[in-house]
Amino acid sequence: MSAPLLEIKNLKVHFPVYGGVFQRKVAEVKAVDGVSLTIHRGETVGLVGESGCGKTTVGRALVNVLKHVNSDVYVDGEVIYHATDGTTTDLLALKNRDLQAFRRKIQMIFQDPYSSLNSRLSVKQIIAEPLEIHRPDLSKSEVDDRVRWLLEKVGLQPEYALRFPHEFSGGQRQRIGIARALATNPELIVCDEPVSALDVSVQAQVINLMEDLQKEFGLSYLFIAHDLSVVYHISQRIAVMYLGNIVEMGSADSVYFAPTHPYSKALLSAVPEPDPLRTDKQRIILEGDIPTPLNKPSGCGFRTRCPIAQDACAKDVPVLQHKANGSAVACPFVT
Amino acid sequence: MTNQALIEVKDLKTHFNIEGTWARAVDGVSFSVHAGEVLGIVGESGSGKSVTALSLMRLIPDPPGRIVGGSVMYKGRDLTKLSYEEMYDIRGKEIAMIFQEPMTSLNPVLRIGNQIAEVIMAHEGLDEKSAMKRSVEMLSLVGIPDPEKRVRDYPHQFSGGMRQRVMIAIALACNPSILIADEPTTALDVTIQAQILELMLELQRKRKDAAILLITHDLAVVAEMCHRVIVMYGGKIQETADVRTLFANPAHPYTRGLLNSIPRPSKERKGRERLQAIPGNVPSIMNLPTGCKFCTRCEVKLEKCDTVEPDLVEIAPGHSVRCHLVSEAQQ
Repeated sequence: MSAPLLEIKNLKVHFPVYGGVFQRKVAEVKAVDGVSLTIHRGETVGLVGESGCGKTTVGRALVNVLKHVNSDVYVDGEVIYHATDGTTTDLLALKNRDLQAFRRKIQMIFQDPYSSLNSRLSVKQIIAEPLEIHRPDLSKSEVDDRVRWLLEKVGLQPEYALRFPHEFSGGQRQRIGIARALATNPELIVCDEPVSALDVSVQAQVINLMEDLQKEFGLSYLFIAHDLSVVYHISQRIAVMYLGNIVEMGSADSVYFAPTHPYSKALLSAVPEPDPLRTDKQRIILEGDIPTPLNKPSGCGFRTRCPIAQDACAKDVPVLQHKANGSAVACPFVT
Repeated sequence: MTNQALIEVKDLKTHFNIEGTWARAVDGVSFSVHAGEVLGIVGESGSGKSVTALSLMRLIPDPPGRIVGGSVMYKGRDLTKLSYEEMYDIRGKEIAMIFQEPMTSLNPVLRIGNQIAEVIMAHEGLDEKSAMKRSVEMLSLVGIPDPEKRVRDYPHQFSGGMRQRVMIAIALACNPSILIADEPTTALDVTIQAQILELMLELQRKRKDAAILLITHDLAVVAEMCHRVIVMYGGKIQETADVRTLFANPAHPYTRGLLNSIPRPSKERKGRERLQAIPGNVPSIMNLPTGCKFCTRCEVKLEKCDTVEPDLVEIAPGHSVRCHLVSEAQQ
């Protein structure tokens, strides 16, 4: 495996819940509760899980925007950036001013191409905005050239630079979003459900484009999505999250075809298959819904829906146990 | 599956008047739904699949939309000709519908029990007490635990999957012959989607004389649920076949493109396989091509495809395709 790029160590993100007449903090939502994950250079790591499992929050913590949304958010742990020269920096410990230099290395693509582009800015202004902040040394014509070059890279005509977002279809807008993320020469792009809002026939175009760009620029992706077949297609490694914790992690093949954690097993068995002849599939139907992170079960978060839960599961939060083949699973009762 | 058609749609045309021009959202769609089957309609945004469903229920907002032609025959009556009052007796009782958004399709200020009882009281003439009793039965039928207590809860006290179950309970409360499900699981997580699909299949197996019309963009859901499939694009049916034929032997270039563009996980092909995307974008219904609706994105198109709309031709029993190339090869 190539050198590590970003090492997440025991990341915790807790959101405050306000209540009562004075809107005081009454509880905490433990959206991410001790996640450790390493992303290597040039690698795509898929992060999957159901809504409310904390996968988006992990992505947002990496680009470090949570504190700006609400200063009461509790963020703990380390996000260590490994530079090519071997130096390491903990991004979560940095002050805002020092963080600026690292922000351009980690960019983000959002789910909804309709709301993630400012409708009052032209495509050129949208793509040039990160350049104005991170590359103030560039002259106007250099910025122009770069915008045109970026548009070509994402498969759009350079003449589109003067148009506005409403003139484009969903797939084209997502391409603009990708061009904006690429503008600062990032090393990691956090992709939060980048294709789930697109039409089926357009999804494949965007996935192919992302794979091409990865090869060309040596990008790493953290690919957050709920569509498991898409995640399998694009990722080298997959991590499965449930209620703020990673329950299983490993190579795409091992997680997709041989999951061991009871939750990953159920999740993967629930994926519908585009083949009407396959009727042999054993589907594990989980009882009930995902509990709210406001009121997590004690011990293992999955024990309330787990088919093999035992009394001991209520006591301790299971830790990820690493196995010989490089995968890891957070359940003491499976091997 | 029997051959008795429950509902027969003939040459249905639903157009929308948008700033003076008529957008042909559904333009000459014919199909029938048979008792005991699950019929799938697949298509992307703007293909006309949802408008077809809403036309069947006569829920097209007029203006701007209007059913401008065709007929929907149900039990000897043409639904497109019925008055609004007459439609009240059909909707919810004979044909019921569940929608994509379980978050917005329930009334947030009414208790769940009252919302189910409302349908039963309107159609079966039961008094409130017995209607509430039926509500409890319906909730337990769709697998909501503790139904006696939950009937008194409000929608916000339910999760997304539970709300969709409540929607199904309302839809099935009067034992309709046809259940139209418009993207019923799109807003749900995969594990919850599996629960809801399983529930729909289970209920469908119980009633041999009823049918489900499932509208979706997800081919995998179609493969798991449906007996027959209609593929729509640009307001027209492009291909229709039974589900096995469609997946094993797709004839229309659009159907083939759709099937090729979805990732199919397999250990052997991992890393080497590139998705075969359909080039271009879904055209807006405001300016569809005059000829074949798919000609702007088709990789095998002929010269006449730009100008001449192909007919829907039956190439094998039960398998029809709208494509010049396919019908020429047939001759």
